[in-house]
Amino acid sequence: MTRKPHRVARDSVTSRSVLVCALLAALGLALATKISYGQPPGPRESATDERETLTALLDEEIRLAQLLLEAVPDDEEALIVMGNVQARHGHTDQAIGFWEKAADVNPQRSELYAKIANLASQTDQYETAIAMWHKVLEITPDQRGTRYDIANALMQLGDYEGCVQELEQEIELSGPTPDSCFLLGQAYQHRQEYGKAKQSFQQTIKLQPDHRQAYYGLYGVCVRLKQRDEAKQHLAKFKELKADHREAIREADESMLTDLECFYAGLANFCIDVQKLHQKTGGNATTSKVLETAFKLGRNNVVFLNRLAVHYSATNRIAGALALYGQIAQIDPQNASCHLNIGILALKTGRPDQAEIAFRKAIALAPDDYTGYQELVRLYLRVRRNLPQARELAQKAVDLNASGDTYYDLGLAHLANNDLDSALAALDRALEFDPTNVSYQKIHQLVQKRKTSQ
Amino acid sequence: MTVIPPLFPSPRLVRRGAVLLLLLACGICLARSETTIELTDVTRKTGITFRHNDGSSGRYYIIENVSAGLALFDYDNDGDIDIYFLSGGALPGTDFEAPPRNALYRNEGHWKFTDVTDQSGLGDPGHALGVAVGDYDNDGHQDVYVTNFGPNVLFRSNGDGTFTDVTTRAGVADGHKVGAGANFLDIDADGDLDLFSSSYVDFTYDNHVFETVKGHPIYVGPRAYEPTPDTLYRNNGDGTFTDISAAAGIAAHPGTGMGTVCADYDNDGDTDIFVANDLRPNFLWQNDGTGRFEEMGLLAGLACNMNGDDMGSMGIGCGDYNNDGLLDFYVTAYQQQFPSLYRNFGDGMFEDVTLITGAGAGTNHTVTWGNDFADFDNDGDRDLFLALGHLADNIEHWDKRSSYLATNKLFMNTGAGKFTDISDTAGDGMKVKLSSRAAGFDDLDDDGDVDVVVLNSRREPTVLENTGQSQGHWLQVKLRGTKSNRDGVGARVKVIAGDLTLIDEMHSGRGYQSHYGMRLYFGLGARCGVDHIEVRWIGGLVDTFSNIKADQCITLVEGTSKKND
Repeated sequence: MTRKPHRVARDSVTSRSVLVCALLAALGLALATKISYGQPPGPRESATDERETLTALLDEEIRLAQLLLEAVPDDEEALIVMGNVQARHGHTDQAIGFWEKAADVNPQRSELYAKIANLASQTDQYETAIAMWHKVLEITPDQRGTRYDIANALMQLGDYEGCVQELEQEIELSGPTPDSCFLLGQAYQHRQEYGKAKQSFQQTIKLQPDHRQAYYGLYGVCVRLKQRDEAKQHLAKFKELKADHREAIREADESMLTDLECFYAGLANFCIDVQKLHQKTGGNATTSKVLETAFKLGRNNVVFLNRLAVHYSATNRIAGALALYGQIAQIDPQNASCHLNIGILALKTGRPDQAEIAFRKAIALAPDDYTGYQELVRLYLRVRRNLPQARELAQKAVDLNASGDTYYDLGLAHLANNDLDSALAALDRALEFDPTNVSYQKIHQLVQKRKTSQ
Repeated sequence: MTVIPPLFPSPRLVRRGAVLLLLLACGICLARSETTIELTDVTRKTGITFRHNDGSSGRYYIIENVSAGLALFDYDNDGDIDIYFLSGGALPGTDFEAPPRNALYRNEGHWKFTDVTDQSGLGDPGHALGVAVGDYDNDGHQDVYVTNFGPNVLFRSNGDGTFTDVTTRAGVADGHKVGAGANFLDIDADGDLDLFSSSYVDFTYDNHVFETVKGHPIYVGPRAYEPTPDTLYRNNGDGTFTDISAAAGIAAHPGTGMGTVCADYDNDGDTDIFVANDLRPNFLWQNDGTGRFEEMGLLAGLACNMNGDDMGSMGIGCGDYNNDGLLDFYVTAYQQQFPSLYRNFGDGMFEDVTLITGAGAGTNHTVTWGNDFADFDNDGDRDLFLALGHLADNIEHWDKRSSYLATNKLFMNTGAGKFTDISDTAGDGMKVKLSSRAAGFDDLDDDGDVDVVVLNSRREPTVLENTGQSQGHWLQVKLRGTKSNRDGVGARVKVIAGDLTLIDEMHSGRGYQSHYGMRLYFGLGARCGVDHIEVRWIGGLVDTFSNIKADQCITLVEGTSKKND
């Protein structure tokens, strides 16, 4: 529900104010006067402060985007950046306007039509959205997922025949996915083709065993097919998964970004967009200035830095990502996942010692999180040192989170210590979790072979 | 058979007068024409000055945005339908010259209404949320139950247009909850009306949650609070009630109740209870006929939407939209959630057919509330009206896709299992842009077609006269129980007119925390008479009445048919 879900009670008002104050003090902006340093503000006063602060920050972001646009008025990238900023600020019509202008400049950029389609579908304009997605397909006929999007919109319009046609094409092109199979099942269900609906829901579950909605769909179609006993089983499974889902919703509510954090996440995207433009224009004065200002706005914010770091990692700019994680570690030394990421990136760049230190910090900060132990095990196995300790750490990871992967790591650790029986036992457990996993199977065979040859 | 003649001559019939009589005399019925539905805003000429108040003062209590319902009923037994509006009360932080209160308007005819709140004693100043009307003491006068934030109130009709608060004696205050939908129903076929009282969440001023989005204060959703169980009272027959929620099975399931309706969904002759829960699975309480209930929502496919997701369920419409002899349900929902039309398959299962029927198109941008099926053009199938409006008065500031004010929606039933959105062409009444909540449907001007009253949050209501030029014939049915409860609540009525078979049921409490429909409305299209009417009363008695002329409002009395099955 889009009524804002309940967040876990935390002193968000105070923490937000402190965060904003720190940021503004660093920037030396006049906005600081709007924040009360005296008594903690009441909820409404604080809301007003936050609103004013956010408004000022959002205005600043728009101003920067406008600056770009003035510098390169007919540049498609600048128009896209402007559209992205407007969309993030909820200005749907303006966003579409900028993207349309960008499409006029370069009509072959299919992602622009996809952006317009996505926004249109969010506002019930399904016909417009479908027309835009068709444009995407004119340019890139093999674009994966687009026919699924069209099918979804046709579903909303009650056109199940069209929906089925699009999904069949999508599946032929991209192969079956849980989403496409599930939607196909729903379309068949609405057409009262219950046998086909059942097959599609079953296929969904095959691809994603915890697909809650597919079990609900199966329950419905089995009742229609008068397969009551089977229906009951599916309903029971649905209830079980739904309970897990409720818990997940609750946790998601708790981990929701605050409004300011949302802004900084968006600001990181803005920086990424501007960087692209900066590279394209050869680093002109305006783009440099905008980039510099945007970085200043976000430089003390963990969400901002983290988003950028993730982007840098994904685009293989490891040094940049490491520098950003370093900044985060300075701002928030208790951030375990930051140290974990530093370790992973350090290992990637051939610095196991630095990685080991980082993983040990991550474990010390979050001793109940299995990921730190898991990464350290993998490091020791890779560099072939501390192998007995690796086995203990792998067992700890299994204790904290029994899964195919953690058992697999434990199997490898036992193997590295020449304990073939324990290795085999651990790999058996891994295969119980995921019998089709090729890596598990290979190592399992290897261990069995070695054991036989002994 | 005892069929009480119509209480009123239909003005439309009078208008059609000579032509119609001539045609009837010749045995010729009017051909079914292409019908248009037109709802005209007549609020100004009604003289109604009520303005809803939600008690808000910027503190954003959750109880503000969910109010309130309305009731359409004949409070003074003069034959026409009067209007009772609920209002929020004076919550902390609010400053009023006179505290807001509920208001009763007497129908004077010709779309004139007089404020009779003071005389009637129904001007309760509590923070009202829901209402049900029923003759709990079978004295021939309809009584009123109002759910509040705080103790609920039962007003007993004195029979002279005045009411007395009998809550304490009756024992139905239901603690100090956030009230929601309420219903009178006979759970055990003992001839008197029992009472179901739903409640929303466990909110108090002390546990109030205040949050913001983008710096804007918001109303938090129901997940911010604990759910609460609903309450079922058994009528002791002596003016008192006993809370049997635990024994009946109701108390074991806390929920976040909003709209409620009591209907015999499984055609087994007893009354079941359907509760719309906000962001939790809806409840379908199946009655075993003795007043014990089993929760069947998930099994029946009514708990969630087609994805198995919990909806922000609001109001419940109930009617047979596809004329298959089974009661279907329509449940409104929150923004970005389609409301759901649940088709009854007759085997205990429902299926969400919203998308295939088109019964919800264009509602994604805002919140949907009051709703119900009504045959506005008397063509023999039931259309659908939805009341719309966001609950957040500042939604535009943080979600540009939505707006606080919205026009309501009218979907015409095409007769082929589909609905067409005709809101843009259905008269100026559909262009009113406010933040609507409850909607009620009744023939306020006794002209044979169904009119609409809408309660708008923080504003004046909207009264819509059905001014469509439909030539369809119609029949309105009132019930009078003799062994069963006096108004026939829970009775199932089947009307057979040539090739057309229609069903309806008498409900007390429905829609969004509202009450209306103590006449049952049957559009007959070109059919100028009804072959048979079958009434199955609570308790199992079945009466059959034959050869009824169309275009009248009749009262059918229990036990007076020629042949009782």
